[in-house]
Amino acid sequence: MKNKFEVIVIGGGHAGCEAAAASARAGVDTALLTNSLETIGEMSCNPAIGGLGKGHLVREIDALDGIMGTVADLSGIQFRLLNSSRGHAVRGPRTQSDRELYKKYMQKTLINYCNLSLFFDPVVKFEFNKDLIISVETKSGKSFSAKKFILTTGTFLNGLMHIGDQKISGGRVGEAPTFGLSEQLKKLNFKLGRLKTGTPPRLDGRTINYKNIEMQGADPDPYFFSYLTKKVNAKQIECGITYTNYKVHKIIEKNLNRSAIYSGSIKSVGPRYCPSIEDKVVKFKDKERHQIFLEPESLSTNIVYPNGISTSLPEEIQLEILFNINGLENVSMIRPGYAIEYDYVFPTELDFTLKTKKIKNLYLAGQINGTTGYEEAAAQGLVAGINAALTVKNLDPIKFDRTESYIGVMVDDLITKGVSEPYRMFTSRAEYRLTLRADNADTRLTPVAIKNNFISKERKSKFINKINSLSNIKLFLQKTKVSPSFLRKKGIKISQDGKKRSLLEILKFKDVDFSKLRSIFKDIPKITKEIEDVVKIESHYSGYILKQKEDVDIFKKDENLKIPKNINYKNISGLSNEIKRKLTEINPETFGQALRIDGVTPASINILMIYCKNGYKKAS
Amino acid sequence: MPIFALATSPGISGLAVVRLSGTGSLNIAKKITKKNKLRPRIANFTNFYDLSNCLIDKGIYIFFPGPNSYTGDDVIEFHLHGSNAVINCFLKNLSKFKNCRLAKPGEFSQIALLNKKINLLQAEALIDLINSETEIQRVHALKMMSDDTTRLYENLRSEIIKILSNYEAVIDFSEDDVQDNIFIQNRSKLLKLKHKIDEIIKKGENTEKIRDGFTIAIVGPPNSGKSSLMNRLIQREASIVSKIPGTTRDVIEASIMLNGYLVKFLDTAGIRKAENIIEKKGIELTNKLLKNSDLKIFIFDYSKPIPNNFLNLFDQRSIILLNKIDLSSKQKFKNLLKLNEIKISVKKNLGIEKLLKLISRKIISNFKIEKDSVTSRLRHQKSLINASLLISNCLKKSKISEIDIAAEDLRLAARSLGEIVGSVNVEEVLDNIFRDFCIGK
Ligand SMILES: Cc1cc2nc3c(=O)[nH]c(=O)nc-3n(C[C@H](O)[C@H](O)[C@H](O)COP(=O)(O)OP(=O)(O)OC[C@H]3O[C@@H](n4cnc5c(N)ncnc54)[C@H](O)[C@@H]3O)c2cc1C
Ligand SMILES: Nc1nc2c(ncn2[C@@H]2O[C@H](COP(=O)(O)OP(=O)(O)OP(=O)(O)O)[C@@H](O)[C@H]2O)c(=O)[nH]1
Ligand SMILES: [Mg+2]
Repeated sequence: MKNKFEVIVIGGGHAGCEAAAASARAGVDTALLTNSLETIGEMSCNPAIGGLGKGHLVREIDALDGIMGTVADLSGIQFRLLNSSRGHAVRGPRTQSDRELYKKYMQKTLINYCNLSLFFDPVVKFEFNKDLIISVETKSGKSFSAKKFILTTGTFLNGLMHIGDQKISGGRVGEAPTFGLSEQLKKLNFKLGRLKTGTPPRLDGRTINYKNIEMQGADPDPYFFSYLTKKVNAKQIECGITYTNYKVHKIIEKNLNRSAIYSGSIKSVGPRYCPSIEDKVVKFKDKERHQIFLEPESLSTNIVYPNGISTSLPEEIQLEILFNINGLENVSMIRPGYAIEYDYVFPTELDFTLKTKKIKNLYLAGQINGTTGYEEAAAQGLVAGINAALTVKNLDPIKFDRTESYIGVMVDDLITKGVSEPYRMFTSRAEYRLTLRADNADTRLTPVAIKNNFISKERKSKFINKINSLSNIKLFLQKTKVSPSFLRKKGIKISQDGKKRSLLEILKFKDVDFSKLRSIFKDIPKITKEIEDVVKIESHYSGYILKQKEDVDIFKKDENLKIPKNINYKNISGLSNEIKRKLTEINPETFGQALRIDGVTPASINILMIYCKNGYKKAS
Repeated sequence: MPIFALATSPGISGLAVVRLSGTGSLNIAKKITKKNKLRPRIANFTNFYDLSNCLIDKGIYIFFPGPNSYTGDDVIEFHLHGSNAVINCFLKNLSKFKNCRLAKPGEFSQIALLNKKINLLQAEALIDLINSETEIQRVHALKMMSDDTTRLYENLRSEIIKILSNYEAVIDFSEDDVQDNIFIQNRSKLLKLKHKIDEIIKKGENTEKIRDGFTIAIVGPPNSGKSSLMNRLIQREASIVSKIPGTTRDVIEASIMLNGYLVKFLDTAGIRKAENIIEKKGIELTNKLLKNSDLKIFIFDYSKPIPNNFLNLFDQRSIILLNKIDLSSKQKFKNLLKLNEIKISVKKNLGIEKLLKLISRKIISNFKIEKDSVTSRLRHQKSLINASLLISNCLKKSKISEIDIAAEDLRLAARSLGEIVGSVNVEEVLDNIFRDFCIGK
């Protein structure tokens, strides 16, 4: 059996799958070591991909020729573009995914991926040679060696599940946790912490009474994740919407002391944004009811996921709650909800490629870095996978910048600020939000994949065609100029200032779209709806984007000022110990990043700049 | 790196204070005082020695350990006898310590700013206070420096951010059924906020003049007595007077205090049909000055007709003088009727009192100055105007499909306000500000 590879990915969750695919795609001999084939692509919690902010991440993964977008499209059973009534920049594609289909297509994709070998044997130990990992040992006693390792074990490191006061050791329901790896990292002075998350009970759909329940369907015209997807693959379904009520809130309040979270048996921090129902009842006291989506997990099972009531109350209380909810009076509970506590590594241990600073050939991606969510995990997997592969090939790593992608925003937030609660993506985290839209993920990122040569022929040629027809149509619209009086005759309201305007400028007006233009100018070349949308959206935002570009330029100025590597902050007199500690810990790449670290003052940046300048002088 | 400077003004005085700041200052102070320990924040009488152990002076030092010092770093203040010899010797000795150097103008305050001991608004106010000459300037600088003023801007900013976060909640948490009537809900709050900002703008319209003063251009035909008038007004010979027309070529500036305001007069080249290039240039300059000055004094020779090219230059902010009334005139100023001209003689000091009163009146009627305004520089006004405009832009949006750009408007408005106190983009403004500082602050 082959046991020597260039890159080894440990863990077949969302981060691991994307990391393995990215590394293999870059033409590097890659192995994925995970617990079992069946759990590859497992959705530990809710059966859905995308959402606000998260949808952006999936579009970006797809633009970089990643695999999550296509798999989500293939298994999507209810496509909905969230925020569709709101501006394009904040729309988030989302789909409910058939849990079984998602796993199936993910497994199929990976099994057939070029340069990728899969092994179903958990890793139990790292073998070191000095400060580098040379190989990993598996449960069955085998040893695998590689140049680079990517650890993506999610919630498994010392995972401990809670249902009421019951504690079960595990990485996910029905799966064993991973012991030993955290301890090895701790020995090397890695900073580790504990976080928690939770999941709701699962219901038997056949026992839900849908009669009085409001239903929500898929969008008639689905917005896909992948630029390559053309049509819906799986049957589209509806989900139900029900609510908690006064009585339910009373039951929860009465039993708070029996919830693992409130009884004090869980001390770690959970996500503020995805709170348990206990949290919601305590924190939003005056809210009369909370929404619950009843989402079928799969076309092939009857399991229903009640989105909105994640809990760690004892089983019998969970049942009592369910019985008091409209539509669930006679429900049978397949599995109780639970909370899980797990080890995470402080992401400030990482550089922008997600490589650890302490072990130069180890990368970390996914929930192990303190994030939450499949999409966040997958995006990190891609960053780690591609960069591990590029360094194997002795090529420069790729820096994903805050100004260019949500991926960049997330990586920068993680490595510069660290996390104090599980990190989830939001559109408001992106300061250049109007520029970084889900619709233009490809124009922002596909060139990166082309330049670094990790993209399929099909996607590359499709993208190049798109860019060409985009520039053709823009050129045409720019060249055709008309007077305001002509426009008024054609029924377009415009100030009669005598200034001739190009069709591209006219497209900026709210009440002008392509069909309107075409009705006046018959010679506009035929283009696809996709391209029409791109042109219209771009012109809608053009004023704001121009302004953002100025900001981006200022940002980049600081971001291009590199701090010399191997700088020893302890030697710089004039910096306070607190700031020395922070700079040493985070070891920023650039002055821009240094200034984004909490507590680092402009004065210390000044001192640092002077120190670096003098240092350079001495060196040359 | 330790820096030092004389904090009091140079020249002979009873007391001179030298300030030393930065890492390493403490060690230097220990050497100078020959003490092993300096007790913080206590006035200590001691001997000061130079590097070769010779006594420089006897005096007092006070040690302010960072971060509780003016600059935020360790600071030591030395109180010496205020003689040139003592000061020079002391400073020279300081400069002999390794890495220790003379501070640049404003450097102490710059470090305080960078260490976040003071904010940008306060740093500016500090310069204004140091440079203040009039009572109004002093009071206004103190007002700008107060925590209340900073708080006012910070409150405005946090109000915008509060509203912005409502918008962000609709954008990022709409899954959790947040209502869509966000625009209506926040409309009155935004209007109120904009109203507040507009009030500040209005109140502050002319307050930068408290600091910069009012400029008054003195213009007229050659030889009409412009330079003589200027010298009379400022009571010294700043400008050359001669009977040769075209004497003044470059603009001469000089200031006086008038009713508590700083007033800056500009003596200019006489306006006539230019005969050579140099004069032409001078006249071009005069035209530009006319546009940029707050008031204009037109001065004519009483004995000569008023050249026609002046007539269309007169406006609300003009004062028209007929000079040399001591000379008997045959000229009738037909074309000057109804222009409220004042007849004066610079030579005989006639009508000058009346002129000064008129200047004061014109300043008050044309420039309303609110003494409790919270802006002192054009920079503040610009940021406020920008913020107000952005809020208006935001208010124009009423469709939920525009919520992302409405949020962007608010984000930019918050940033504009932030720039006043200096929470962002500090670097750019920094250099501009600290140029105005004197050494030792
Ligand atoms: C109970 C629960 C509730 C959650 N609730 C939410 C939620 O409400 N919202 C949300 O956004 N996210 C939620 N999540 C998080 C979401 O599931 C994760 O963020 C996401 O799956 C992380 O992906 P990952 O690739 O980092 O890890 P995972 O998906 O956890 O994958 C880890 C993989 O590593 C493998 N592995 C573990 N140890 C080893 C080993 N020693 N050797 C080899 N392979 C190993 C496992 O088999 C698994 O395939 C929840 C997760 C859990 C478990
Ligand atoms: N008799 C009399 N002579 C005056 C009076 N004011 C100024 N003069 C004289 O007029 C001549 C010109 O005066 P300036 O002050 O140099 O005139 P100016 O307008 O500055 O001239 P240019 O700079 O050459 O344009 C000088 O000889 C002055 O002494 C006045 O009130 N009465
Ligand atoms: Mg003159």
